[in-house]
Amino acid sequence: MTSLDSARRPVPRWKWLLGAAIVLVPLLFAIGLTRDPSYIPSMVVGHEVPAFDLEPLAGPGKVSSQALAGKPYVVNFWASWCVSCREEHPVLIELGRQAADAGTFAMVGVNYRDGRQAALDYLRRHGEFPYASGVDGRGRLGIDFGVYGMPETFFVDASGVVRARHVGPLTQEAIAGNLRLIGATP
Amino acid sequence: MTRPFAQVAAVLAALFLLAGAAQAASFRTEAGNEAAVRAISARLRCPVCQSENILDSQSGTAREMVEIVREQVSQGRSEAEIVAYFRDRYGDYVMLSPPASGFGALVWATPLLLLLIGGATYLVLLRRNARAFSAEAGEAGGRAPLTEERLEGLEL
Repeated sequence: MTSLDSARRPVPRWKWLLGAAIVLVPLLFAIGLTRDPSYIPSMVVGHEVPAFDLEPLAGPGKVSSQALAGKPYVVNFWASWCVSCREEHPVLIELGRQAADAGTFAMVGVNYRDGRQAALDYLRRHGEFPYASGVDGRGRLGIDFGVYGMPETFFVDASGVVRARHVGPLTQEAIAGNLRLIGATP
Repeated sequence: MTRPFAQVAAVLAALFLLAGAAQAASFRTEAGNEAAVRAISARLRCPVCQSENILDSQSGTAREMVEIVREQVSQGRSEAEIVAYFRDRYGDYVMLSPPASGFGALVWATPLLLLLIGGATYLVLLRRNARAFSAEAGEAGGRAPLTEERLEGLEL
C-alpha cells in the first residue's frame, strides 16, 4: 500500500472515533485538573439547619438553634488556630454590628475545636465579637454541618433552612449575596 | 473429704468457670466491635486531608469521626447506617470508593465499557485483516507452494 492509495480512500469511521477520543480524553483531564480536589459540596445547604445547644464561650445561658429560630441568621465557625480567620475578623465584627443595628438578622459564632483560654486570648487580641459564640470543643457540630475547611460560614433563613455556605474568609460580596438569599438586608 | 466441703468447692468452681466465660465473651464482642470500627473507618475518607481514610489520618476531625463510628457500632448500628450518617454530612466525598449508584455507577462501569469497546474493535480489525490477507492470497494464486519464481515476484 502506498501513500497515494490511502489519500484516495475515505477515512474510516474508527479513525474518526480514535481522533475524537485522543482530543476529548485530554480535554476532560484538563478540565478536571483545574478543579479543586479538596472542595466538598455542602450537604446541609437546602436542608434544615443541624440543631445545636452549646455552652457559650463567655457569659451565661446557651447558644442554641432554638433561640435563634424565626429570624434569618449567620453561623460562623472560627478558631484561634485558624490563620485565615484573622483575615475575616474585622469583617465579622462589622457584620455583627450591622446585625445588632438592623435587627433583621442575627449572628452567632461557633468556636470550633479550640481551647477556651486560647479562644478568649484570641478575642482579646483581635477584638471581641458583638455576638455570642458557642463552644464546639470536639467538633461534633462541625461534623453535623459538614465543615472541612476553616473558616466556614452558613446562612440560615427565617424558616430554619440553610441557604448558603461560604468556605474561607468572608468578603463583602459574599456577605451581600448570601444575606439576600436568606431574606436579610443589612 | 466431707460432703459440705465438696458442695462448696463445686459451686466455687462453677462460678469461676462462669466468670471466665462471661469475660471471654465480653472480650470477644469488644474485639469484634473494634474490628467493625476499623473496617468501617477504612472506608470513610477524611474530609480535611485528601486521599486518606479516617482510620489512618492523624487529624483531629478524623479521630473524632472514628470515635463517632465506635459509638454507633457499640449502639448496634449497621455499617450501612453509619456510612449513611456520614454521607448525610459530607456527601459521596466521604466514601473512598464511589457508590455503585448515580454518577458513581458510571465511574465503575467505564473501565468495563472501555474494555468491551477495545476488545470488540480488536476483534473486528483482526477479522478484517484476515479477510484482506486471504483475498490477497487468493489473487496471488491461493495456497500455491512458494517457488523461486514467486519469491522473486514478491517485493521484499
